[in-house]
Amino acid sequence: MIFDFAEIQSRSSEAFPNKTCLFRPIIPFRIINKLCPEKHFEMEAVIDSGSDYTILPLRLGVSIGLSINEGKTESISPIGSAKDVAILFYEVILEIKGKQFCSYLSFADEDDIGFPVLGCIGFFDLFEVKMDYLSRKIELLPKVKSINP
Amino acid sequence: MNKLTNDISEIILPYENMWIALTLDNKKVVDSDKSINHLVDRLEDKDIRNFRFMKVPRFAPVCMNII
Repeated sequence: MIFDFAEIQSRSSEAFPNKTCLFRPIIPFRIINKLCPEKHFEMEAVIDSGSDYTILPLRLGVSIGLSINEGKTESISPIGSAKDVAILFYEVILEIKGKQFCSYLSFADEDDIGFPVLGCIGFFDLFEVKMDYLSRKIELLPKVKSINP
Repeated sequence: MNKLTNDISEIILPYENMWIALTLDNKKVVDSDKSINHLVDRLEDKDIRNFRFMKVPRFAPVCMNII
């Protein structure tokens, strides 16, 4: 599965006078409720190997029927924050380019989440991820079997 | 370099640091809000499966401070 980096506008600076844009590893995906597959949402998030966990907005999780009472809690320390915050883990289906994988990933309240990220648990534990900044290409090589043909 | 297939730079320009709901083909921003909660509240009646959600990054470079 191959993706392009996303092109994001940016401003020039003294250090980079000709800069007009930045390139970030942002990819689209779908999250499906494992128990109720017709409930799902799509979003885009940045691939971030520096994040221990994959973290998505809880409101979207709730919208596909994930119950706050059934999430498994974990405490994390966001970088730059003095306080720990609680996140909730669920088993869901992660669909990328039509291929579906079982994933154990987390959701956080919007006050506790800066940007949604595809991190180590929930994403990097499913794929070998190759990123070539110069060609602006991302390649995902599944390390587990997809659950659909 | 060729134009990237994932070039959404133009359509997200007015929405720095906001949550947006895109059409599934990424061609149009349907709605936006500073709060994902409020955005989903508004779109839930229209079936959120018809949209793709994204938080538009800041246009300034970002780096993690690991000290």
